[in-house]
Amino acid sequence: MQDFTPLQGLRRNKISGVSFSTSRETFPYDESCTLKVKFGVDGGIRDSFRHEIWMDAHKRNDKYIRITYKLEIKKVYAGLALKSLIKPVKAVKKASIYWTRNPEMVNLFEKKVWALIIDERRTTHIPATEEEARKKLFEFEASFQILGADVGVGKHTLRAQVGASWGKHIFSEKGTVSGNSSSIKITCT
Amino acid sequence: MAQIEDIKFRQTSKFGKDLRQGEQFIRLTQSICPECNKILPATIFEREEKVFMRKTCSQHGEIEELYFGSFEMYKRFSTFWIDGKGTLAPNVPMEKCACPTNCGLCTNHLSHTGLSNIIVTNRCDLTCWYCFFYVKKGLEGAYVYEPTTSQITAMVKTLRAERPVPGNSLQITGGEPTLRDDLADIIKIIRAEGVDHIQLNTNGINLALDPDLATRLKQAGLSNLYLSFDGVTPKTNPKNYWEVPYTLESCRKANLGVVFVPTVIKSINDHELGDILRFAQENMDVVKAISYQPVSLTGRMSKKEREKYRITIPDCIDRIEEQTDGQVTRDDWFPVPSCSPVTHFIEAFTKKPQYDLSIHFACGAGTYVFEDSETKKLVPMMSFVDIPALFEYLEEKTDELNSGASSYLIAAKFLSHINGFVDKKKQPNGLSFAKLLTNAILKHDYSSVGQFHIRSLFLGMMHFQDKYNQDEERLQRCDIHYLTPDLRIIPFCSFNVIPEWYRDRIQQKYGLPIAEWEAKTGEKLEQALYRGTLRRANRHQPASCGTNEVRIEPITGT
Ligand code: SF4
Ligand SMILES: [Zn+2]
Repeated sequence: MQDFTPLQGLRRNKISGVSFSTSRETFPYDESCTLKVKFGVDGGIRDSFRHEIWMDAHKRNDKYIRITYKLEIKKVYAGLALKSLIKPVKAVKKASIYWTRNPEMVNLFEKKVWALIIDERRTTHIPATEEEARKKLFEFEASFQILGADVGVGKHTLRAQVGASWGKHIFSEKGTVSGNSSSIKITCT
Repeated sequence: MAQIEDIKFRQTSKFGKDLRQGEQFIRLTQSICPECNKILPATIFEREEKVFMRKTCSQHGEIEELYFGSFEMYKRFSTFWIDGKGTLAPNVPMEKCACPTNCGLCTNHLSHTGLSNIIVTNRCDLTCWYCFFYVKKGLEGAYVYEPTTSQITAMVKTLRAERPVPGNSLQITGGEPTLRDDLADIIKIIRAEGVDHIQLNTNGINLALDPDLATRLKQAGLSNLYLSFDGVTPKTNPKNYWEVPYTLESCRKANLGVVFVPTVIKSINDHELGDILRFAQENMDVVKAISYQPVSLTGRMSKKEREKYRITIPDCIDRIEEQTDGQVTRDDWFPVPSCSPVTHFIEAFTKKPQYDLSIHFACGAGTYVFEDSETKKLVPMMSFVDIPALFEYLEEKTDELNSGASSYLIAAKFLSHINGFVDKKKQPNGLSFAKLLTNAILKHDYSSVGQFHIRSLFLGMMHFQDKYNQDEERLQRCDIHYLTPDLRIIPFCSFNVIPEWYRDRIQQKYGLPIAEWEAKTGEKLEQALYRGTLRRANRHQPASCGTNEVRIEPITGT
């Protein structure tokens, strides 16, 4: 890879838009409920993921970007997230910057590079717009089904701990960001 | 923060609009009109779980063609879409991208040469009905094309001048290259220029007729044969069904490896893909690989005719699964560019550019199979190596290396993890995959790759394009290239798909009209034709699987 070119005035990277929800606040012991976690990465790395930079990255053979997402759901005791309910989960989203021959692309001869996104389920998406590409790469969502037996009868407070990391690219240094969701309460009867 | 302009890639799609009910849009690309070669917008879409291409020429109307026989496999393969390094020494400076005009390689090409081809003659000793390649009398503008050894030297030098990765793999092709008396000298010349891998594309007949030829070519520096082999019955393989056993015998003696190359045509030989594999398995001591090649449809063909013969990579893979009773399944295959995680890891580890097989995912696929010494069943590599997990791991470590991690630390991590990807209970006896990969990746010792101590076969597949399914996104990534005397390096799927712009023009420019060639050499073109000596002899075991039942049926076209 080529030397890093610092991009001036980039925003600080951070976890954004963490949401943590349950399908049922109260559920019987022999049934289940679904926990859903959503979050994203915001800041310089996201802002840099745009067409102009893709062009430069492609030219300089920096064509593959991986974002590793991590997530764990913990039980909260006395305000502290202590015990793991959902063990740490790791998932990777990737972007492949490629030379397109899409005849509809604006000004094809000059702007010939686009990004396709390979999500954590290994599905390829060719986004229609740059913003869609950013959404697909920098936003993550996961659901988990838990049984009454996983938590036990009673009231429980849960919190999601989330994080993301990436390597060094011509448009970014390597980075790691992390964050927490707000707590939710579930009751198993 | 700077305002981010949101560039639109796909609008309401004035081209994509021609989707019909039951069709799902996949992507837009460019192709050509099969009649007039005009560059056209083309839509790739899904219908009934298959992938099609549709394009419309204002003059010649709409053309729809099967592009990939399984949408599911298309989706899996597309996750390996990654552009290559290209070459920093292009021969055709182009400001704008205008594939497929002016190939050679141009500034915009995205893969360096993976396998180069030199046509040493366009004469052939056979006259197969479906072949468009050999020179024949009676055709207007037919030229005998046989580059001189000094032209060949110059072509190889051009290949070696590619940067950052000099071309290192070359196929001598034809016509039938063994018609050149100086073939051994040509091989020596290519070796002397530093090419490590030289393969000979042949019908094998002259190697069957002259049992010492294989030894002479091997001694000159030949690496292996790329042997045309279309089937295990005389009907499917009129070309060399009777001769191949002799060819294999010669190669056995010469210790020269063989790759079987079946051209697969639906309704002609697609029912024999499993039998071809079994025949290769029986001869695994000398046959090292099979390269199945779904036919590319040349010439003017009606839609009905195309549907009769058209077969694509997933269709062949499915036939192999059926015809091997599930020994080699569709999930065992990976697209060629899936090698990228390994290449990129070695690149990051050594900090040196590496040979990269960065073709389009729809161009080719491959897998490795091993023979279980007890059951004699084929065991695909996927059944004992968790390849997707291994690739993920290598990608992660590549990122770490590129972000400044110590290569010693990464090597230590790699060594401690590699066994975790291998299921030793299922791994065939005599094979240590972990050791092999460690040698290749960390010590750069590739000598053991492909030379497993147990019986193994590499199965490959490449679907060369034609004017009906031609896709510029594939062409721009092509790494099978022709070297030509004008010192161009022309992608295979330009050279052969639009012969009027490339192949025929080159052969005309650097060849001799037949009469002139005959006067100059004192030979007649037809003198070289094979007279079927070994067919008449009828004293040997022909090329079928483990039986004596020889099904003799009328041979058409030879
Ligand atoms: S020869 Fe054709 S099929 Fe093969 S890599 Fe090149 S473009 Fe693809
Ligand atoms: Zn036309």
